[in-house]
Amino acid sequence: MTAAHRSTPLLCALFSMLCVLPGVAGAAPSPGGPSCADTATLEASAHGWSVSGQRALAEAYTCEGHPGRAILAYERARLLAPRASAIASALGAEQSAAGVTPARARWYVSMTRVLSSNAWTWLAAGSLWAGLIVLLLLQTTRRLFRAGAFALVGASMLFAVCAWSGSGGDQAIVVADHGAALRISPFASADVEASEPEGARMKILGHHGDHLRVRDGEGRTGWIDARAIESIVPRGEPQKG
Amino acid sequence: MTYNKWPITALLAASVGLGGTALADPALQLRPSHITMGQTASLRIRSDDGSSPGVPTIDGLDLESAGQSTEMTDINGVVSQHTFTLYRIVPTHPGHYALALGADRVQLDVSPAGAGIPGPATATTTTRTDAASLAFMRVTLPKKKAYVGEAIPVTFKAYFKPGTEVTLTGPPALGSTSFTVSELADKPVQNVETIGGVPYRTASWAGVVTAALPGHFTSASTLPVSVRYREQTHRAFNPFGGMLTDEDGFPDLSSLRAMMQSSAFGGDIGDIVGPVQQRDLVLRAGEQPLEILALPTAGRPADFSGAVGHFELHASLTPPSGAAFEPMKLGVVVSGHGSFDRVAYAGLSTTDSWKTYPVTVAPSKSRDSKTFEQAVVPRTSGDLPLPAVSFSYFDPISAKYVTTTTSPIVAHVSPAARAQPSEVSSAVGSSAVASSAAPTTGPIVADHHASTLTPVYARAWFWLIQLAIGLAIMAVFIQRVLAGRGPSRRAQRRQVQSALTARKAAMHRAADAGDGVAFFVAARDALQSELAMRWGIPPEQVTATEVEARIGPAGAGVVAAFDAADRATYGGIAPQGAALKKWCDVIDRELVAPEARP
Repeated sequence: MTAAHRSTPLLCALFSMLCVLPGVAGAAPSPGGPSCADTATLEASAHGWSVSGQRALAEAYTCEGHPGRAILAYERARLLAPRASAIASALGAEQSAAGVTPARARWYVSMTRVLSSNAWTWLAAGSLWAGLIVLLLLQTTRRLFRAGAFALVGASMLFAVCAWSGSGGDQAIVVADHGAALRISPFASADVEASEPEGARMKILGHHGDHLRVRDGEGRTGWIDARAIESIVPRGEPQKG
Repeated sequence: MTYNKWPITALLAASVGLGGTALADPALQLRPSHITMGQTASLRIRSDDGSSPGVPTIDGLDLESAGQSTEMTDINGVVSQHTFTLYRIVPTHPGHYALALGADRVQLDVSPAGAGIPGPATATTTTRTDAASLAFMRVTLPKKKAYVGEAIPVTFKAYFKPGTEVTLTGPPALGSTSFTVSELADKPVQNVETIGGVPYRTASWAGVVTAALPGHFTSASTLPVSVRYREQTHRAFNPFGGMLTDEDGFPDLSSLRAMMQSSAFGGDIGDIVGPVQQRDLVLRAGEQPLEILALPTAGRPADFSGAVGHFELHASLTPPSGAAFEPMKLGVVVSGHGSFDRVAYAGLSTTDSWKTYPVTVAPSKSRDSKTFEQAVVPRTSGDLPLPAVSFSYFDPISAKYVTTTTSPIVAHVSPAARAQPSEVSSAVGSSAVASSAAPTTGPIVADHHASTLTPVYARAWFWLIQLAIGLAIMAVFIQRVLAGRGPSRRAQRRQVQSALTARKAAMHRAADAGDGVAFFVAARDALQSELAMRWGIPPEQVTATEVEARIGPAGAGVVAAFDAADRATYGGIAPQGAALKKWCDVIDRELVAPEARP
């Protein structure tokens, strides 16, 4: 049995693993209707996280006039289904309606959304171990296989970056009804550097007391009241509803 | 240096006639007091109570208003304000004219064209420059009657005397809270305009005035400026005076400087060598009446937002076709003439076929248009008509309300990808469905449930799995290295097998070619490589003696092959023909049955 024959089941296993990962699976129906639903009911009835649940929540928040929370729900739905163009379009429309400038997706960011963060993570781990197995255990002397093994190890690093980039773990959304003030220091009485609209997306850089140090979409850094924003990946998760 | 005597007397007389210099500004001031036909004079009237005198009528003289200015002076803490109204006097007939205002009185002598004007005095007297002669302002409003909300173009133009250094300390204002001035440029358009032979520098602003309330108003436009200028010094310029009286016979230096400044900067000959002054002025234009009419209530459309003017409406859908539940953008562009501040668009309402989002105003690059955008989402497939977009405004020319409506836009909507009939019908359907727990109205997307949003790499069990896999790989690797069956032996076997295959091929090629010497060299190498690999010794140690010692009679064929190879290599004696073919079979047999040996 050659090395190619031995590695085929491994690649098949990796592919099978990706096929059952979120965002790639088949369609699932979700009921719909034109009027608003009660957000409190939706929050309470949710068991875990689902694309349809977050989407329903987003539309309910839109109806209630809370674009920040609606955008937050859409961002969470996009974490679960990064390839769903409908979620991305709805998110863009909601951001446009809220007066928030959507971040322009660069090509490499678009590439990371081909798979979910978890899918990239598994792909990175699988590539790393496959490459190491070929190099250390199979001891192939064929140049093609050795090059392939090295490529797998290198690609695993790239996949890990994609996983980290698409995780949204350090991203937050302004959910305060009238936006939030970006202050120059972590105190409520500090001077206001800028005003962040409701629904604005920002990156969390650190924290001090009740304030978080953030960088907004325009590259400004400052301190914001932690109560005014909510992380896309909730702090203190994992269970909800 | 001395001066001629008679011009001194004339200038003193003129100075007294102008009101006794500036220490106490006269109510009337005329400059110059002697002109010829075709020239103009400036008349300044001072008012201490802010009132504006009417334009006096004098036979033989045409008086044109040249604007107003306000001067504030602070003398020992006492602030006083004076308003100066400036007129330009154009004579229509020569003669002697007397102008009087209260106790102040001035005289103007107008000589026929071609007549000489008394020469200037050579005495030096400093008079304080009046504000109105430094700068004045005019405002152009093309309409005297307009409607509330109607955009009226307005032009503010300020004139500054040559030689002044002007700093604008504020924008021009119309002087009434009932109006709003918009679209005013931050920087004025600068130009030079000659009035009465004087090249004034001008600064003009074009804008739009909109009235907020009906009624009769009077505009009192103002412009705050700070003016630096050199105080006038009335000095006769006689380039030949020095030649006649001075001992050296050359013009004096001051006269030359005056000539240079006059030619270089276009100022009056007398406006030189005086002290530099700075004044903060508020230029005031002449008042203009304006009647603002209320918009009629009869026939006012329900969707009228207050827009007054003449507008056109265009609507477009981007993209014009798409899939159900995919958002589209409805763009509504209102273009035309009028005040766009009052142009508003409420947007389409949500229907069974369309879900709509709030309207946003898109940044517009043109002042003559305003663009609205509204995200709309089709809830079903087919050729879906969007409701017509309408916009109402008041046309001030026809004095009527106008409602303009676009044609309905038909969107070609294909079924949603992977949509299921039950879902599409529910999206279109009733409010009973709408009250369900998950009232999503969007397209079908792959649903996925997860117990947590925390990425997998942030969870402990993921790293435990990776650690286990890594330890397993390392354990196998270390075990192989320690057992001495590491990579070198496996690689060596593959290399020997590869070399053995190549030598067997060379052996057969030599046999086919009848080259006995080459055949036995290749055959010996092949046998040595095969046996060396089996016994774990270097190939050069595989000799006939070693073969006999290790396998005894079983290696007779190999030993015979080695002997034949020695004879062929060193003696050049090699079998040919059928004998060579026989040897080829023997070697093949010895090579393909290595497992039979111990």
